Amino acid sequence: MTKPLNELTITEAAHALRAGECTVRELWDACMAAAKERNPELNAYIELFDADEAAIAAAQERIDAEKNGGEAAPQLCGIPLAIKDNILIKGHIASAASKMLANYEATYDATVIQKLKEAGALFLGRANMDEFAMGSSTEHSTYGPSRNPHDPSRVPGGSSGGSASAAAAHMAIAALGTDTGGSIRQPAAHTGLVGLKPTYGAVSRAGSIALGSSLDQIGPLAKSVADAKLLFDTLKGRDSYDATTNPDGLFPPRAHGAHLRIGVPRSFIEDVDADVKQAFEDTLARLKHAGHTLVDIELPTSTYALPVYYVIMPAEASTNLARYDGIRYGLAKRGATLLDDYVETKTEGFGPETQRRILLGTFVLSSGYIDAYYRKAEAARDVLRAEYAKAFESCDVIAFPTTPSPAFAFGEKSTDPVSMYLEDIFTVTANLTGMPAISVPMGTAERDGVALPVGIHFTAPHGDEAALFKIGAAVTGETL
Amino acid sequence: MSEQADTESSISTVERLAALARIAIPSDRAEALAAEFESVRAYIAQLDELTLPTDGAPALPALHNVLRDDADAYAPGTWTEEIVSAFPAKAGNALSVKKIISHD
Repeated sequence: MTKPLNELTITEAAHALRAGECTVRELWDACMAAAKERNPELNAYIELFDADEAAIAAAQERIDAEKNGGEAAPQLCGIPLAIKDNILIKGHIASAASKMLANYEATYDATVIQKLKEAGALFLGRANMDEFAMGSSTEHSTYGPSRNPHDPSRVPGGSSGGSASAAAAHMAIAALGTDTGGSIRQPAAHTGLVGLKPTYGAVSRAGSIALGSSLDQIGPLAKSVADAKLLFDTLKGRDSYDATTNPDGLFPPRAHGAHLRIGVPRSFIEDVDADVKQAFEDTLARLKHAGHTLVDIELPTSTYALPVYYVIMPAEASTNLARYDGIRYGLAKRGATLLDDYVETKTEGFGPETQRRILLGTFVLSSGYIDAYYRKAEAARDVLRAEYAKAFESCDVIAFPTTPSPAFAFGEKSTDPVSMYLEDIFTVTANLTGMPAISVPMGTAERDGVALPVGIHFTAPHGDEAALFKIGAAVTGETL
Repeated sequence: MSEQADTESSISTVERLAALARIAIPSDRAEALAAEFESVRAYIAQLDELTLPTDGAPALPALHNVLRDDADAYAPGTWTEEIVSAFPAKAGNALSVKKIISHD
């Protein structure tokens, strides 16, 4: 084995475990040692867990049984993962990086955690994030920001920035994040990882702390397309605890041959940094050379997708966050009256960005403005869905750069909320339409002498993650 | 309206929204928060320019029942201990809250 164990992908580690090149314990120790060494600088983890000896032993037994001709163990068996702090693991704190939930211990496993446990995966710790997943940099975490391993003076992206930093710095083999407007794909792009936002309803959200309920999905941040696919295949499926999960067969499989038709909405990507645009064009040229077809498409309403998103998401966030009132769990401040209890708890428990979005959500849902903002934005979503459906008549996937620029420096976008929101310009539409989307590394762009990763983003029709894995593997040069 | 009147109006909007959301805004934060709020509001006001086919007559969504049968209920008490352990104040298994009705 030439690579250190913690730098392996899931498929490489699964192979190494079966080939006897390492044990589950050695793999865990390698990841944990890297985490302990680098976390003080990168702050990717809010908390590192003690080794779960029983889980490590059980995983090793399953792998040994497979080696001895017994039942095949899942590929994820014995693989140490980082889990975003808004996904519940029974017996551990799940705080969504908020002071509001700093003392909240999960009473049950999220469905995705249950599935990972059944597959034999191990959990290294709680990955840092923007508070309640509101942000694009992790600068809104109550535990301080995570840093980008490619340049620690820059953000890792967000809101799943801790997950991205952990996987990219090899402090985990892979990670789980959540994506409401780009929160998996944008940090994946900024840290050189593959990030998948599955189709709305593909993966259960039972046991994840809600931000925007019509937008949120859980998904993987991984070092390869094959790993992202493996995690997605493990996590997906109907769940009786989440009524929004899709039944099997809701979206009939779409047939595509070896080569895909890639739709490119060029008029929408004019404001991208020149070198990011160049990396994008180079990647498209490479795909074309490999036999894929480029198709010019128009998505005229896409320019409004970001303002639409910044109406719908705060509306849903303010609704979801109303439950944190200091009465049943979480932070509980006490004043003279019951109203004081609520006000003191919310004022102290929610950070500035969370408060901003609660106010904005309250505004767009208030009786004088709900038609002009919230209802209009909901109607615009239908138009966006229809435009994408029309575009998918002539192509299999739609390509953008994941972000207009590589990772930015700390503080660069924290004075004006709108400049931070613009990070999501290419990613929000997949959440608004519910379509699956992936970010795959497409090279680097140099800033201040450092080569920073940039990502290419593909969107596919509902249920067609297969097209995303196929085109993603074509970009990375993997054989799935 | 003058610039000062604009600022005052936007501070009062933010204060009203904060009261509805049960959040206290310290007086030294009000002006900055109002400015941030106005910046976001101006951004989302782009929607004013957007003409939609449904303008004037919002289309009714295609509704269908998504509720499952209330089956496989937990046995009473299955989660009680864990849930009660998170209560900030309790009496036995009951959640304690402030008295809100007065008989005076």
